[in-house]
Amino acid sequence: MDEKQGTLLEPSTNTHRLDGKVVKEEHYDNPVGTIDLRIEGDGLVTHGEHGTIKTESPNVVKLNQQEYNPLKQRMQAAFD
Amino acid sequence: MASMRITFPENIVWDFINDCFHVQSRGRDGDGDSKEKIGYGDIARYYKGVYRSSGRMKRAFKEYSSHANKAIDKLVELIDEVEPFTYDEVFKFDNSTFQGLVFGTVDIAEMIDYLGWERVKTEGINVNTKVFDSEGNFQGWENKHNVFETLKVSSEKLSQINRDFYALRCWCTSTDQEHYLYIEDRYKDEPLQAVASTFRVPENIVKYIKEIKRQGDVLICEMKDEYYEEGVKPTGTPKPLDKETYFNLLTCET
Repeated sequence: MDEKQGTLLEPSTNTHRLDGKVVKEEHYDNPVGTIDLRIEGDGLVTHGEHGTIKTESPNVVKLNQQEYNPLKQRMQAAFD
Repeated sequence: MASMRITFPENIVWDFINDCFHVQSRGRDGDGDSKEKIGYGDIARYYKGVYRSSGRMKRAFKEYSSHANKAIDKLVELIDEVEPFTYDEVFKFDNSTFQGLVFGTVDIAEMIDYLGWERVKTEGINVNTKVFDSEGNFQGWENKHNVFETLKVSSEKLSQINRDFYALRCWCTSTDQEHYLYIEDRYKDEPLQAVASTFRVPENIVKYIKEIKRQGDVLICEMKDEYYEEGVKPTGTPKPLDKETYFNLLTCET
């Protein structure tokens, strides 16, 4: 992929966004929402309600927290 | 006539031709969509529970094609007018697939107070976390004491669940903020392991994790150089992190 400036890490709930020079972004179709990223320089992970995080390594894997649903008796993505 | 389907966020499928919604059913329930149709009103109430506002919903729907504009515009208009489902409404749903979906959006604290609960186990841990300002400048380390409590929630008032279930209360004594998650029964006596288990990592990459940073419900794993040098891909089966790995690698949480 061509490099791009930033990407949405979790668009389906409150938006977690990564700003930085993303040179690789690979999405994996699994229950934990895996995204494999390679970033040149630092990345800033921002969110409207949580503090900012800086990534300090070029290789980053993003995952979603999971929560048990007692009604369905299985794990699902947690809601922030 | 074949229907044109567009999958919206959070397992909702919009039937373009019939202008109605279904719940996308996967995994244990089988592939395909549930047969019951759901109207705009209930979908708007569901999304209100997920996004809380039209602004957040618009951001989540930003990437959709113009074919979906009709449905999205209608939902955005409705979402500010409706209230999310309450826990007692959820328990009365006939559509069990939709019910399971909505169940995950209701306010847990209110619901477990209504249902009744008792504390099972409490564990605390000191966490040193990196602090960054909004520009990403490192501000230093902050020491926090986090308390995790497992709670047994009574199912007596529920007809859909025939046994008690468990919630985890996560509380930071520094900020006085608390957060709840449902957990599997097997972690009821281990609050620290319960919270670690909510982060499921492809098992082939765990040994390559250098540090973990958590922002709400998103986990950022910063990987060692060998991860890239060896061409590793995160394709392994996601497995719960053990508490030692999680808390030893955790360097930042917001």
